[in-house]
Amino acid sequence: MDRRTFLKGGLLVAGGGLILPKLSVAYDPSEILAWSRYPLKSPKHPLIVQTMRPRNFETPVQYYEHFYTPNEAFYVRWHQADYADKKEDFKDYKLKVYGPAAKKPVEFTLDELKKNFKVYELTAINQCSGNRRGLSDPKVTGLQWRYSALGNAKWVGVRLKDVLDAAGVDPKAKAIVVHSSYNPPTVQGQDHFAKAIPIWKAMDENCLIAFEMNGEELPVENGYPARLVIAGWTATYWIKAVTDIQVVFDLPKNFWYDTAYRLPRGKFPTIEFWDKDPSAPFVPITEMVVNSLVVKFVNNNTKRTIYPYEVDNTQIKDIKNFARMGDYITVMGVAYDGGYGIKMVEVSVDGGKTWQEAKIIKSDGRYSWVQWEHTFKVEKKGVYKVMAKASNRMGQTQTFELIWNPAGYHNNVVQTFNLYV
Amino acid sequence: MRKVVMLSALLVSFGFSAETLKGTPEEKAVMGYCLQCHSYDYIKTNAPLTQKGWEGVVKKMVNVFKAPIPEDAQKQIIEYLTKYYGKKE
Repeated sequence: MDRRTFLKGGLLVAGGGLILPKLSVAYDPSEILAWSRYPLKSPKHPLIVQTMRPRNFETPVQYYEHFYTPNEAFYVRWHQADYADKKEDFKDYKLKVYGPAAKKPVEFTLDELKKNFKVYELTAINQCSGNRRGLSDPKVTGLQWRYSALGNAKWVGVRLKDVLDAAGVDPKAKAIVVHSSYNPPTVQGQDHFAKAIPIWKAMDENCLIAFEMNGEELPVENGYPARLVIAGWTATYWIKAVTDIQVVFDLPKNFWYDTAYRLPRGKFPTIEFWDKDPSAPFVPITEMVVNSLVVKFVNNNTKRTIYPYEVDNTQIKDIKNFARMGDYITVMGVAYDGGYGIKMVEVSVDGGKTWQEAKIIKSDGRYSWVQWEHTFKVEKKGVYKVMAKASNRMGQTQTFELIWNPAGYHNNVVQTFNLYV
Repeated sequence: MRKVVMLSALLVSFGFSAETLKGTPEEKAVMGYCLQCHSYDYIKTNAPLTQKGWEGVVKKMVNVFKAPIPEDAQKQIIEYLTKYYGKKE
């Protein structure tokens, strides 16, 4: 039963012309599953439900001890409830490039994309614009993501630039407007979820049309058969199951870039910037801000590991009965930015009074995150206030206080963990 | 939807008990309009909001996302949300 037949069968017209829903017997939609863990993509990897429909699932933080986030544990974010959700649904898949600023419309099947263009590999962070929105205070509406609407993956695909060149981009073209016909509006009159990407970014060699993720086909939940990789920019631009790329001189009106996904002008140190209206008070979100995330604490003496988050990632958990006098504790985490590259990560164990440089243990290019660790010896009783702070090669660093904004974007507040000895 | 049904069955078989919307069946009947586009999880995760907050949400659903909800039903939805998932100004 699809959604439409469900609704048709489930709605009845009652007296007074008011339509009242009759709840289906097969599935009681009044179930609220949010903030629980369920096996959603694979029985082995329970994810945290934000919403069941559309599918919005968060990755439990402990998966980030893997340098490449496992596909089956990779977070999931969709705007609209109706979309193709089985690989068979995509058997007629085609990518079309057209529009007023495209000299010659072209289209490619997945095989043609793979055959006609050179294939590249790029490791890049994919982070939802709204990651950590749920930590905003005062609260803002929207998906209440905690710490882990992100993942690091090795993407394989063709360059967006090469595919655009096949269509011939007019030198006066301003942007591409991208959407997926497999993810249509849920009700009539709604705008299609579409994103506008300025030509200078679309032609960047680090933007791909990716059909592989960590050595496998993309999961349907993450954009099978092919999705955009707009390295350095938040995931709103990484259109999944991408089918339509329009090359334009002027942007058609669309809620998803005219109104949504915008930041108050001047509040964030964003370098990459653009807008069709240069005087607008709210500007489109683009590159990610520099950030770090603590993943785990390891006691080298007892060999115990602790992931200091509540089971639903809701909040940081105090660390108790874990460290004794004389133990060596290693704190490990990740750090990333919008592609300038992480320069260093510093760790404080005294609430920010003094900082030590952490060791970068793995990296894979400037669009990837780095994994870092820092080991310290427990030498006194009391509370160790452990913090981590990343800086990038632009000299940008994290904030200690939230830069509040109405959509809850760009939360890169330094985390604090209480380790009780 | 098929996936949701299957998952529901799976969860039931594992003995998970699902949380349901507050209120009587009559009170929450009008909330069925929300299911045209999304599950009820959004109510739990965005609560509590003030009456003004819920008004803003319903207005956005109708005006921006074009949810076809008659005006009297919009009012009932706001009343319901304020009663069960509301907070004081």
